[in-house]
Amino acid sequence: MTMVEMRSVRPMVETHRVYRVDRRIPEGNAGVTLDLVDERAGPPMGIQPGQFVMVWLPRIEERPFSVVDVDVDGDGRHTLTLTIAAIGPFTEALCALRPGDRLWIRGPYGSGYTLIGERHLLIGGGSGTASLYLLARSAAELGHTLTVVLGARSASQLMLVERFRALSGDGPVAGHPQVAVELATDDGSAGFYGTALGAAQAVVDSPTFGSCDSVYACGPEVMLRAVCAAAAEHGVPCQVSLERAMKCGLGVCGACHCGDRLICYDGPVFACDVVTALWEQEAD
Amino acid sequence: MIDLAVELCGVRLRNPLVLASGIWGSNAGMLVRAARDGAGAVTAKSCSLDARIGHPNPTVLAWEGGLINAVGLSNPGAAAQAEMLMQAKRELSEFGVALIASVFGDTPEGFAAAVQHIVAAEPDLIELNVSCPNVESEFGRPFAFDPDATAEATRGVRQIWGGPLLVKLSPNAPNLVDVARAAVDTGADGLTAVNTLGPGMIIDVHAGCPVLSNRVGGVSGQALLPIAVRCVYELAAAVDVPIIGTGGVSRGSDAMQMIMAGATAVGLGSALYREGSTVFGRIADELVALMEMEGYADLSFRGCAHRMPCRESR
Repeated sequence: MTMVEMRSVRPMVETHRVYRVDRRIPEGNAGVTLDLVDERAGPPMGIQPGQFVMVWLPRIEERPFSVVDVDVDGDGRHTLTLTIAAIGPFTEALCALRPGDRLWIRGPYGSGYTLIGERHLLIGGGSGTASLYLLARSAAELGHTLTVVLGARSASQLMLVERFRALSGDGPVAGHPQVAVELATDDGSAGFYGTALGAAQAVVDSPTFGSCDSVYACGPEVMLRAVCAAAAEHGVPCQVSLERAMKCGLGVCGACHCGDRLICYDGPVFACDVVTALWEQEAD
Repeated sequence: MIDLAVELCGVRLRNPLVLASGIWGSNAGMLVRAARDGAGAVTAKSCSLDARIGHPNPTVLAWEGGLINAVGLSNPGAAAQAEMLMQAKRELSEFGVALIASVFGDTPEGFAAAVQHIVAAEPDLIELNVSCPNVESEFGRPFAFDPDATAEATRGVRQIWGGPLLVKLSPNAPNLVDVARAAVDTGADGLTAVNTLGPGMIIDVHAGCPVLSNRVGGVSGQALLPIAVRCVYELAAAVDVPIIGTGGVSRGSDAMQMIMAGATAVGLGSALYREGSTVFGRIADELVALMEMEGYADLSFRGCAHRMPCRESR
């Protein structure tokens, strides 16, 4: 079993870098995916799957977002891709950005996913989907086998479906056939009829689950708890990405605590045995 | 065998390194983690009588000289804080690490009203934060510039808390020593020096506006160290109570400077940025190595910078 270690070293100074929107791709009714180019063509961010960046719109707000993708062209310019679910004033302002508009980014921060084995099950619920794409792409590029379950309230709320599907076709990993994408919607308008949790449950109950080397999940905490419990039952290694209200993003202020860990500094990705212990600490 | 143990206002600490208020200390789990990783005492995040949300992001930035922050004293209110402190106290007893509760108010009565809740948690010490620079516009001039207001806040709390009481001072106060004397004369058992400097401002030149949502914030880290050392030195010369020297300490030699200036204990805050609570072990190791090099068996060199000659040359 191979284990691909992915950790980054934090830079000393973390000022914002200015990016411009290069391309804006609507994600149904859920939000948008933005391709962003670094205005000063600085060195590419070394981003591990599952890490996040802090996105700032001056005079408005700053919040963490998973890095969906990063690409470096022949000239060393890099494109950073973020997917924004419109859920409040700040994310709506981000969704309203047009090509050429600027936004400010610092990071990346936090720990990412560690690929374990070569057969992977990825479960994304709602905007949690964004956290998993770069992982899926990394695994596909290594020639691994993937099952990806994407859940949302309805078909129009599903995000990044085509991008995940392209991993098995003529996308970034041309001709790679071993990526199966399964959908689930609360209203049955696409794929499995049921919640992301229900879809996840269906997947973990299926024979595929016990035969996968590792599980990765991001989405509502109720879904993550169910995934962790099932993974523990099947003895399959599992990592989940947690979301908490975050302030500094630097591991300083302590706002995003979960037991004796900080989501921004120790996480957002945790192994299931770790996160299960953290949930128990919080319940005390 | 080097002995790092100190006594702070009657409380024995296994080493002089203290987790400063406002870093990590929002819940019991993080306080215990700092203790497990080697802190001699841990300070919880400041609380007020009523809950505060704090400022919107951006709230903390890393810059070349350290950090600048305007978190805005977000806290769950004194009643909820007391519950958290009770849990922390219970869990910290296993490590023999002292718990310091930090309290602030917008009036002298506000300090006492918050402390009224906190006493139920029986922290080892209570620290009055009269010096946060991030809330001036809301509360007017910080208490830490005003000896009378500091005295009033200290006196009010002294009436309801019999345990060790610290007052945390501002490096911005031009009359630092007067404020310290006012605190000590009205019942403070010790001082914490200092809070963040400023406020300062960082402008993003591309955005053309301040980065912090609060526009200004307290400056900490490296940039603060020499100012904090000078403040501790002045205070140690003027008042005869223990001092927690805090401000920009990130190495064993920084901690040694604080102790030589007269500090009994040494606070660590911004230093947790980048390396987390493992910083306690590293700084303790560096301090021990320096003490061995200089031939000190314990921390009795405290305040040596005040003596002439500072130490005998060998």
